[in-house]
Amino acid sequence: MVRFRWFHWLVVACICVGAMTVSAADEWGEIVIPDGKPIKIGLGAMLSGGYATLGIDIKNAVEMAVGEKGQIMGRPLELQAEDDQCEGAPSVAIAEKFCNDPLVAGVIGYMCSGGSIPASDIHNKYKLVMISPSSTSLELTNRGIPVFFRTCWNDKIQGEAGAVYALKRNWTQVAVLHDKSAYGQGLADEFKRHILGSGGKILAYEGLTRGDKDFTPVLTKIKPLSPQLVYFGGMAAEGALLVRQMRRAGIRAKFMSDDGCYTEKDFIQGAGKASLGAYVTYAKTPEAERFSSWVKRFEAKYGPRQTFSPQSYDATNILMAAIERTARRGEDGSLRIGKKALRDAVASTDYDGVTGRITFDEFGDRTGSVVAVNVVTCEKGACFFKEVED
Amino acid sequence: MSLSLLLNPEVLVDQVINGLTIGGIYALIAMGYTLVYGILFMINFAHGEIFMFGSFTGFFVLSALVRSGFAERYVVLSILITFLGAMAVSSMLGVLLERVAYRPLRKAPRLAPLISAIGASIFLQNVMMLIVKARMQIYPDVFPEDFIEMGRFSISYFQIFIILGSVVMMVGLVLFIRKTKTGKAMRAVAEDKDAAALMGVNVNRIIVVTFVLGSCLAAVAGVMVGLYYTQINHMMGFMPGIKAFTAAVLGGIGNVAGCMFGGYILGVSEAFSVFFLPSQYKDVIAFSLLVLILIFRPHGIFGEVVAERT
Repeated sequence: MVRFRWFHWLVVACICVGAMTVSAADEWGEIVIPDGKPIKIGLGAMLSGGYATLGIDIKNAVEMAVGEKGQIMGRPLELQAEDDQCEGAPSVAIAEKFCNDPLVAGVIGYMCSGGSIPASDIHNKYKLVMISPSSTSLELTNRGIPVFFRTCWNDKIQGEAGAVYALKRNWTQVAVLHDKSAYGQGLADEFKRHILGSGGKILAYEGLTRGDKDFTPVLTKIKPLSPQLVYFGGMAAEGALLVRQMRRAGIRAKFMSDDGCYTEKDFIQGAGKASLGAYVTYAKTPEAERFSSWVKRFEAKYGPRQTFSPQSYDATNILMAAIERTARRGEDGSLRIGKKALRDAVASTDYDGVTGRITFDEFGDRTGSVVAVNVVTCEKGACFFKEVED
Repeated sequence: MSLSLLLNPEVLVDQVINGLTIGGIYALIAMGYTLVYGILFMINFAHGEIFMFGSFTGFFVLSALVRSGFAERYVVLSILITFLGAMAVSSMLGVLLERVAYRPLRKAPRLAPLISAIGASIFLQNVMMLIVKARMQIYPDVFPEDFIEMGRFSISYFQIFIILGSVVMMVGLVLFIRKTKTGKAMRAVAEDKDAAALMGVNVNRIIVVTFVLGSCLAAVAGVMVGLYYTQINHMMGFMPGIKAFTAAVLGGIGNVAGCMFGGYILGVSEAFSVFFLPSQYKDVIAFSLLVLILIFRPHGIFGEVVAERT
């Protein structure tokens, strides 16, 4: 056993300092893209099944943004899109896959709150940034997960916007339906809270199953209660059937739903004449000319836009800009992106997107979101969403 | 609070009509299960997909008719052509299924055709998924949406169409089985395959006829569902398949008349369940009934206990 002299302690001290310097490259670790490999952007959205219209719309927008940027510091950008089925289990599996793929720098995802919530735990474990264009559940930003951001609004704002409008129109006798999901039920609860808080009455609060087609039993149950308004927290596939079957059952109440129904294909076309006069909440359309010119460019390439393509386009550009700001070239020709540095770059974003100016608050929520109420209107033979006048 | 709604006669009648409508559809599909079981003693788990294929065929046919403008001028004829097209394709699919997935396994242990059926079911779901690129499709609006009002009660033309249509198809099938020679042959094969063969019945042909009949009814149900609910997707056969199977077991699997009642009982139970349970538990009813029936009366309400064959 060697007796420790003073110079032994000096060597130990040097090693410790050296180790600290090396690991202080980034306290969360680094993404290392070896020479010759692309930088991958991950995407999780529902690409097949009931809400695929929204998922494919998101994918098209992300693809458009990645295609336009092309490369960062000489490295090609590659999009890897995965089908998250708008469910928790597939989203978690995809999150594990992305977080363990050394070439993935960040993820646009996931589409549905029910998927994003459990997936965000995985992303938090591996400290990989995720920006969701469409998951609006409050739960995502009140659990202290630093790697989650969203370019859409949240359901506190959305539920309130719907309730405020309903109360303004004096619809105080309301029946509330939801699809039992983290998103639909969460939103229905927010809406219900606001209505009750302002003295309105909730005549019924019922759940229905995603994928079910026959809602006549629950509609027959609420018909004799004579609601003025039926509020539905859920997606267009169910919303279109609901409003159609409501009219068939002779329920004359107004119908209001959320961004899940803000899709011309699945809701307006899906419900046909029954969708006329239905109210749907969605982000207020930006006034900027930039938005309408982007929509024209997008639609020329991919066809009519659905719900979250603008938010997806902005989210992708924010992620890529943050990667560009944080990436450094390593001595071995590799590209190094510090995970915490990347997260901080996203968090400090101040970006003029197609949906307006985007900054994030300390929880990852987009600041200053405004949600407006739209009504389905038909003019000159075409039916579309029109923002109601205040 | 909800229970008091039951005392409201409008609500009562409305729910009964809802129940009979969805029950009619379950019964039509259940017929296919019960016919095949009666003859082959196997559960055709791919029957839900025959229903789904019928619905999609109807969608393609009707969409083509609408696009060409034919449907606007001849509504009734278009709907008829849609039904016939769906029945044709579903029958062919049923025959193909029997030939490829079940006939080779007729002498195999009982588990083999069962697994083959499940495999066929998954295969067919994926085939349709590839055809429509996994997007749901929406039936064109051709059926009138109006309803008849009689005082305080109302029933839509759609519901009348489905209830009457399903009754007519099933009564037609029962008459076919009771009154025609082929029907007699079917009953003979169901009772004793070998004895029927000895009597000169072409057993293979009868089996094919059975599949064709069951598939036609499933196709009719598929087109009705498509017209009524408008949304169809490649997985739509799964849940109705299970519920129709429940209905068949409820009525007594192998018993054609019992099957009809099983369907209606299931439909009406589902509709009324919303008064006793939160409506999100509607599906629980079907599965609870299945479990209860299998525990307490596995041969079903109208089934007879069949003696064990040697």
